[in-house]
Formats: sequence, structure tokens, C-alpha cells
Amino acid sequence: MTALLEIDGLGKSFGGLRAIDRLSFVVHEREILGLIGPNGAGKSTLFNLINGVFAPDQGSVRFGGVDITGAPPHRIAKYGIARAHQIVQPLEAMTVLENCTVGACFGSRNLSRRQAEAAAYEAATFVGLDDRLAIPAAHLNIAGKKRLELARALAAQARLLLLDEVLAGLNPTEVEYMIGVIRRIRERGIAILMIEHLMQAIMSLSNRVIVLNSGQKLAEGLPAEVANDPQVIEAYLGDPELARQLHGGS
Amino acid sequence: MATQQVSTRIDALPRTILHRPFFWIIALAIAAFVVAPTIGNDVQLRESLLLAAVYIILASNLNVMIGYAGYVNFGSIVFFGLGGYLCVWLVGRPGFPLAVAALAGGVVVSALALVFGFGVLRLRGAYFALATIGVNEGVQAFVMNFSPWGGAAGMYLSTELFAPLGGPRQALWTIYYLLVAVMGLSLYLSYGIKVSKFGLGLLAIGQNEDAAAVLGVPTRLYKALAYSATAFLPAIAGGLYYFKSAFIQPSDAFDLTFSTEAIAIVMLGGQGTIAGPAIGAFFYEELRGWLLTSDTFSHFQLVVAGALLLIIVLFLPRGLIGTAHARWPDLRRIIE
Amino acid sequence: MRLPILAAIMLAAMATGAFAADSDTITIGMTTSQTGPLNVDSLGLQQGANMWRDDVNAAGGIAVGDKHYQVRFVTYDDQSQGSRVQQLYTRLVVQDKAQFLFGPYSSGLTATAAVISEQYGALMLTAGGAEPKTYELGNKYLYQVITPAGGYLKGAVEALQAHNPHAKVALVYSDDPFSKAVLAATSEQAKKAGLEIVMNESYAPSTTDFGPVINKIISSGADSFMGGGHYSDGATLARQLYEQKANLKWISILVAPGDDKFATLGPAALGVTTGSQWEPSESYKPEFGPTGPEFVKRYRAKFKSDPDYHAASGYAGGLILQHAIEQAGSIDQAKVAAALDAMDVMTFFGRVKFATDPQHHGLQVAHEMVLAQWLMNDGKLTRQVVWPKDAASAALLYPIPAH
Repeated sequence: MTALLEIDGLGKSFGGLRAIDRLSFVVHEREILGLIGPNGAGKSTLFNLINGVFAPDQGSVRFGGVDITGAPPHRIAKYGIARAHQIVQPLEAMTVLENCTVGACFGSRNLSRRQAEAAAYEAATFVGLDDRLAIPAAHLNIAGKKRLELARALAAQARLLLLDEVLAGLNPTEVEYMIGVIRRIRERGIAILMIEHLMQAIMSLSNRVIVLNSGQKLAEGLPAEVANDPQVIEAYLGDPELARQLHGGS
Repeated sequence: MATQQVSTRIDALPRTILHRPFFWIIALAIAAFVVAPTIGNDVQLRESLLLAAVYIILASNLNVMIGYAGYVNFGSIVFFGLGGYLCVWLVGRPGFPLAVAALAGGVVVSALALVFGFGVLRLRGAYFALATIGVNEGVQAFVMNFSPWGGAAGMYLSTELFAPLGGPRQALWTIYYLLVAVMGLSLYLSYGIKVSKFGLGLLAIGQNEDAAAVLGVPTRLYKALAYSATAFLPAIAGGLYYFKSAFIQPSDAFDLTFSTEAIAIVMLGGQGTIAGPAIGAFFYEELRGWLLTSDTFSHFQLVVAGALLLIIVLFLPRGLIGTAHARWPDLRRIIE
Repeated sequence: MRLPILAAIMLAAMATGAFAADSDTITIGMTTSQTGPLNVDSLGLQQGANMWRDDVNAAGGIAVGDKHYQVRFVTYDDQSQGSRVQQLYTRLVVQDKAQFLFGPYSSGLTATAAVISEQYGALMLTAGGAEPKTYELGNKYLYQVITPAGGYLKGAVEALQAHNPHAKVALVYSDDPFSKAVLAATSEQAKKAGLEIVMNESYAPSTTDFGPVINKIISSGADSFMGGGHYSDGATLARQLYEQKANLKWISILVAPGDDKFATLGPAALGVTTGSQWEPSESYKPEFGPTGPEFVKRYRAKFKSDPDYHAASGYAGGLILQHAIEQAGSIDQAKVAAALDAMDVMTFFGRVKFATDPQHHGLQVAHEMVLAQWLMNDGKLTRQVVWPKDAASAALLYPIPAH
């Protein structure tokens, strides 16, 4: 498989805290790469470094062969990377359709507003929000808002989605639905780098998994390999709930 | 991943702005402004509507920064005042009849606004607001010490300058029509922006600037463009207005009271809507004018104006039009 | 044959009788700054004008031919702001049918109102605008009652020249538009009068210590001083000139000595002169209207306070308009304008004559600022008019006694 996103020797410090340290990995086209690790491991920071919220101190980020290290967020979107945030960020007073239109307008394709509305409609339908297009985003429930994050990212016609805990806070039915959506996204040929704490989801969805601990890569490989890696298990001992989950509990 | 065939729901949206009813409502309002005083040669009505038009120009341009992008520009009067100064200074020089002088003022001010905008718009919220006040005060201080423009004493315009326009009586009518044209352009500009891709980006910035950036909106560029674009027409209006007044001085031209009133009007009418600032400006101006000349109220017209403001802020925080939209959602399609 | 004559007699009877109430009023329109930063100064103007109206109505009204017209004012608040002035003056002319206008307070507002006066050919008398530029804009219907700003210290220069033709003058003044304009004109007048200017400097308006400046004055060899700005810097200058023993023979200061508070400076105030549009102690002999003392007495009785020069100029405006109408024998704008153009009269306020050339039409050319000086009178410091001679109430003290 061809490499789409290449992270090489990435490093970032905040004051005295080394948040990301000598991190290198690859996301291939059409793959779902799961990103797990204990709280505070640096997962969201990594996303911030990829999509330009912070610039790294060391290392590089390449996307489709192009060096995008340190590019500002709106340029990253143009390159074709979209993000769904852990804490949802709906454009509250705007409708679902308008939210998605923003994604479509300013994403990787330079669409006019009318064209963007068509793409937005398509993205909203894909995640099952077509029954709520005219509703202001503020009026959606948490599940709806999570779907909106996803829809916006899709509307942007991105080649890589950064999904940050999109399943958090959802009930089992919702989780199942979203897992289905994510699978269908991969079927469309879009690569996904997803942070998730729900082990069952990560294990079933991911082609490969990376484990982050204290800003460093602890393990990398197939889901089953990673789940049985002693170092990983030890890291998660600090988080008993997760340790339980690793081994089939949920 | 070709986009699917667009459903009927999308087709239901108006094809172009010309098909939206509100476009024609604006045209009607402009026609009313032109026809009403002209028919009866009603000079008093004209004077009154002229002030209303000025407020509408200021408020509807300001609405783009406040209501769309969410940046409260406290010092927006600087565009009006600087445009006024440039026009008064240029007019009467060879090659600068009134229209050209006013236009030149508009171009220079919006160019300066673009340059300043990039700097000032790095700040957000209260810091931005303070910075805009600083810009206004800075320009005022400059003008006060700039003797070619009369310094603190200001500039006077000779009545001869009204001659090319046919003398004061005719000139005042011509200036009125020009200002109504600028008012129309302001309304169409804010409307056009709102339905465009640019406007969508601004609205996204106003909702959540960081999320908008992640979604690909070029926030720095868009904010500066909005700041500059909405300086253009107020600057022209300032040129026309101060020409008519035949006198300009820094303490009037850069008086923050005006921009504060404009902000209040945008709030009163309903920020983010097009009709809101226009309706707010119209009623605010008519009310103030009436209070000023009424026998009963003229002594405490400031109290009445202040009380009204308080009532609206407490009970109608979305402004008149915003509240109407919430009550009757279908109204949105007609009065935007 | 008898019917038409009867009808004519009836018409004549009706004209002088029943319709008198409506048609025999002259309406004068004006705006005043009832609110806003100019409201204190504007109040005096308004009260002076009101008093004139009440006086003239009590005396039966203005005589026009063999008819008498009562005077009616329509006044609006311009809030000290130019944005309302044109709207309000338009209303005064168009809706309230004002036949004549009084100008607003301050030169800026006057210029803005003048556009309306020009548009309708409505005569406007201004007692609130000292800036001469307003009258150099080609207006044909403005008439300025007070002395333009440049004349502020003209009397001081003349008086000084009369007592010491070889005076060495130091000009030291605040860096603000008013003071700069006055002193620029004064400098020209002094040069023309043959006086020697040994120093010409401005200071920042916020200056509170004039020590270094006064040292410079002393070392310049000046024996006369003219300058200042507004109240606090003027008063401080006077005090420090005294304390540092500058021993100047002549001191003229803007604004500050015109305020009664100036007396608190004690010996430092003695001999200090200032220009004034009008002083209660002036003794001009008027051709018509009240004398100075009469005006002061009646004003005190009516308003329970002493009149300042704003009040006097407000009253004078009305007086002048009345005289012009009576001279013209008509309320027709053109005839009254002609009467104003021809006017050269003395009132309690001083002499009044308007420029008639197109470049300066309406500028006041005869009224002079009087020179007032603080003098000892029975052991008390009072302000007296000392120049020009026909307005003086006391002899000019020169030189200021050395101390």
C-alpha cells in the first residue's frame, strides 16, 4: 500500500513537558490506522501537529509526498486532511446543511457555494442527517453533533480523516451506526487515522494500530499483536479500565 | 465519489439573488427614499431621510463585521471621518468634482483599512474592540496636528463649491440622491456577501473561528477583506455628508458616539440580518429626530433614547428582526 | 358704486383688526446647545436673546412702517452637534416659517447652518461664531455681531503702542487652535504698530510650571508680555511672572483675567489686561437700546445672575435686527439685508458695522474687543475697562508697578 501520511521524527515540547518525542509512523491510503494510548499520551497533541494548530519543534509531516510541516490549519484543509474533534465544534447558529457547506466550500476542492451545497447535501445524507438539514446545529443532540463533525469532514472531500474519539458519549446503538459509517468511508477510499478509547471499536475497525505512551510510540502492528504486547499491557496497568477492555471486556 | 444527483430539496433554494423576494424589498425601499421627498419637494422629509440613510449605511456595513464575523468594531466611525476629510480636502482641486473626490476617499480608506486590518485583526474579542478605538483615536490625533487639513480647528468649505452642482438648493438634493444610492449599495453589499461563499466563511468565523480555520476558511484573509470592504461605502458617505455640512473638524468626524450608536442600531435591529440594521437605523433616527423637536420630550430626549435601548437589550436581545424570525420562521424567506 | 367702497372699508377694518393676531408676528428661529459640551456658553446667549424679545414685546413690538410686530422665537436643541443643525434649520425655515434666523453657538455649527441660510436666502445673525473663515466662504446672508478672533488683543497692541512706542514684546502662548490664531494676528498687529517682538513661542497646553519659560522671557529683555491660553495656564503664568519678579511693564493674558476668580491672585493680578467682547463696566453711549448699566441691572433682576459677554451679544443680536427692520420699514429679506449692509451704529455692546465686499460679507468690522484691566479701587481689586477711551470706566495703569 502506498503511504499517504508520513510522520518522521516528530517532536514537540511545551515548556518543560515533552509532549511528542521522536515519533515516526505512516498512514497508508485506504487504511484505518487506530491510535490508542493512556490519557495524556499525546494523541490529541499529535492531531494538532498534523493539522497545523501547532508547529512541531522537530521532525516532518508529509502528505501525498508534499511537505506540510507547520502549515496553518486552513492550508491543511486544502491539502485534503479533515478533522472531527473530540469536543465537538459545531457552527451553532448555522443549520446542518450550512455547516456541511462550509466544509465543502473550503475543503480540498475549491467549490462555489452552490456546488458546495450539493456536496454538503450528499455528505449529510451519508451520515444520516438528511432528515435534519434545516435544523440549527445547536439543536442537535450529542449523537447528531458527532455525526455532523463527520459529515463536515466528508463534505470537504478529504483524502485523510483525523477522527478524535467520535464514538465517545454515544449509546451502543449509536456506536454501531457510526462504526458502519466509518467502514463505508473506508470503502470510498478515504484513509482514516482514528483516536479511540472504545477498544472493541478500534480492534474491529482498524487495519493497524499504533500505541502512544508519554509522547512516544510504544507499539505498532495488527490489532491482535498490539493487544497482546506485554509493554502495552503494562502501560495500560496505569489505567485498569482500559486494561480490562484490552482483553475483551467492554 | 461523484456527487449524487441534487435532490429537489436543493432545487427549492432560489436560483439567484434576483429570485429572492428580499432583493426586491430593498429595491422598493430605495425607491421610496427617492420618491417620497421628491414628489412634494418636501425638504424637511429629505433632511430627515438623509440622516436615516447615513445611519443605515453605517449600520449595514458594520453588521458584516459584527453580525457575520463576530468582531465588534467600536471605532468604525474612523472610516466615515477619514473619508470625509479626504473628500473635503480634494474637492475643489482641479480634476476632483464631488463624485470623484468622494470615490477617491472611499478607495484610499479601504486600502488603508486592508493594511491596518491585517494587524488589528490578529486580536480578538475585547482586545480587538479596544484596538479599533485606538485606531480611531490615533487617526484623530494625527488629523488634529495636520495643518494642511486645518488641524484641530477643521476645514471650511466655500459655498462656491456648491456652484458646479447648481447652487446650494440643487446641490442638497443631488447629495441626497447620491447618499441614497450609497445606502442601496450598502444594503446590496451586505446581502450579496451573506449569500456568497465569502459570507459563509465570515459566518463560520463568527460562530467558531478556530473550527472555521480547520474547515479550511482562510480566516486572516477573509477578516481583513471584510474590514476593508465595509470601510469603502461609509468612507464615501462621509465624504458626501461633510461636503453637505460645509465644515469638518476632528472632534466631530472621529466622534466615537456615532460608532457606538451604529453598534446599538445593529443590536436593536438584529445583528446578522440584512433588514435588522436598516430598520433599526430608520427607527432610531426618526425617534431621535422626533424627540428633539417635540415640545414634551425635547428636554429629556436623551433619557428616552437610553431607556429604549435598555428595554430592547433586556427583552429583545436578538433585536427586532431576530426576534421576529424566531417567532415566525417563515418570515426568514421574505425579510432577511 | 357704494358696494365696492363698503367692501374696501370693511377689508381695511378687518386688516387692522381681526387678523392682527396672526399676521403681526415676526418669527425668529434658532438652535441652541441645550445639551452637550457647549451648553454652558450657549445658555448666556439664549438668555440675552430672550431678554431682548421680552423687552421689545413689552414695549409694543418692532415698528415696521405704522404696524407693530410682536417677536416670537422658535428654538431647538442642537445638542452641540453638527449632525442635527441642518435638519433643524431647514425645519425652522420650512415648517416654522421663521423669517429670520439667529445662528447656533460655535463657529463650526455656524458654518453648517450657513448652508441652509444660503439655500433659502434667510438672513442669519450670528453672535456665537468668532472664526473669520466662516464669513470668507461666499455667504450672502450671514451677519456677525461679535468681533472676529483675530481682534482679541488688537486693543492691547494699540494701548501699549500709545504708552510705549518702543516696547519690547514677548509673545508666549498655548499650542491650541484658538490661542495660536489670536497670537498670530496679534504678532502681525504688533509689527505693524512698530513694536519689537523679542520672543515668539508656544508651550504645550498641559504645562503647569512656567519657570523655564519665564527665565527665557527675562533674558530676552522683554518689557511687555502677551499670551496665555485658557484659564488655568493663564492664571499660573500671571502668578509665576509676579513671583519670579519678571518686572514687566505690560501684561496681556487671554481669557483668564476675564474671569472673576482671577482676583484671588491678589497682587499678581494688578495691572494685568485682557481682551473682552463686552464688559459690564463699559461706558459706550448707545444710539438706541439700553445703556450698559441699564442692561446689567435689568438682566440681574430677571435672571438673578450677572450677564457675561455671551448674554450681551445675544441681546445685541436682537437689537441690531430690530434696528435694521425699523430702518428698512419692512420685513422683506432684501430690504432688511440692505439696512444691515448700510448699518454703522453704536449700541451698549459697542460699535456695529458689517463688511459688504463679497469676500468677507457679513464679517464684523467695527466692533472692537475692549481692553479690561485689574485695578485697585478703594483697596479692592476690580476689573475695569481701560480702552478704547469712549468705553473706558477707569484710566489705564501703565507701567505695572514694580515690586
